[in-house]
Amino acid sequence: MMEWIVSILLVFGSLFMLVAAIGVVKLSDVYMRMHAITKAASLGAILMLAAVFLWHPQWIVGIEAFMVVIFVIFTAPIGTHMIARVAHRMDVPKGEGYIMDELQDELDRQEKEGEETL
Amino acid sequence: MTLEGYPILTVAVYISFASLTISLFAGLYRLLTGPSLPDRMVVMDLIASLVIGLILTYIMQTGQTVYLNVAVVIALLVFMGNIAFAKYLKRRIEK
Amino acid sequence: MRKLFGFFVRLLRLMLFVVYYLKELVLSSLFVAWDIITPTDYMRPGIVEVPVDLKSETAIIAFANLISMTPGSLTLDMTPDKKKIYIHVMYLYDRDDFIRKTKTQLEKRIQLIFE
Repeated sequence: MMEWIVSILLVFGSLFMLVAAIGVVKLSDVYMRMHAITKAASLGAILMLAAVFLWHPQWIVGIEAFMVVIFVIFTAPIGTHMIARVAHRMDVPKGEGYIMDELQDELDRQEKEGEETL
Repeated sequence: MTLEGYPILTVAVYISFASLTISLFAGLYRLLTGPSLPDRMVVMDLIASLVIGLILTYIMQTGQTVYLNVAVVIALLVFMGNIAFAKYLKRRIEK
Repeated sequence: MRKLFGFFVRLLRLMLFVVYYLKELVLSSLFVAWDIITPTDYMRPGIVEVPVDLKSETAIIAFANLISMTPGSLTLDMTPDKKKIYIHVMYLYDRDDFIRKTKTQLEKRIQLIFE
C-alpha cells in the first residue's frame, strides 16, 4: 500500500516538473514562463519530498525535507518577483494578446509628468 | 533500503528519471534560444528545481538519504543567485 | 485570558486559511497544467493595478508571496508607499471581478490573521 502511495507521489511530482518545462518551451513571453516555473516546479518538488519522507520515515529526513519545502515556498516567489520586476524595467517584449498593462501606463504617466516614484 | 522487491516503485523511479531528463532537454532548448537575459535566468531557476528532483529520485533508487543535504544547499544557492542577478541587472539599467 | 483567547482564534483562522489556500493551489495548478499540455489555450494575459489596504509589513509580504504562489497571478511591482500592487494575470477575462476576488478572498483573510 505504501509502495503505491510513494510511487504515485513520485510520478506526479516529476510530471508537474515536466509540465513546467513544457510551459517554458511553449508559452509566449517571460512573465508567462515565470508563472509556469514558480508554481509547477515548487509543487513538484514538494510532492517528491513527501515521497522521500514517506519511504524513509526518519527524523533527520523529515527535518531536511521540511527545510527544503520552507526554502522553496518562501524563496521562489521572491526571486521570481525580483526578476519579473527587472524584466519589466528592461522593456522585455511582451507576447501577443495582452489586454491591458497598467504598470506601463503608470510608468508612462510618471515620465510625462517628470516624477520618479515607482 | 533499495528497490529490490518493489516492482511498482522501480517503474515509478524510471518514469520519474525519464520525465526529468526530458525536462532538462526542454530547459536546455530555452536556455540556448531564449531571446532575452531574464529568459535565461528563469530557465536556470527551472534547472535547479529539476536537479533537486533528480537528487530526490536518486535517493529513492539507492536509499542514500545523505544526499538530501545537497538538495538543501541547492535550494538556498538558487535564491542567492536570483537576487544577485536581479541586483546586477538593475544596476545595469540605471547606468 | 482575553489575549490567549485572541491568540487561539487567530491560530484557528490560520489553519482554516491554510486549508483554503491548499485547495485553491491544487485546483488552479491542475487547471493551468491542463491548459499548458493541451494545444488550445484560453490565455488572456494582462497587468492589473490592485489597491492594498494592509498596514503591517509582514502582512504585505505574505500577501505578495501568496499572490505569486497562486497559479495564474504573479506580483510584478509595488509602489514605495505600499498603496498599490501590480499583478500579472494569466486569465484576465474580467478586471473588476479579479480585483474584487483578490481583495475579498485573499486580502481579507490575511488581514484577519496578521492584524
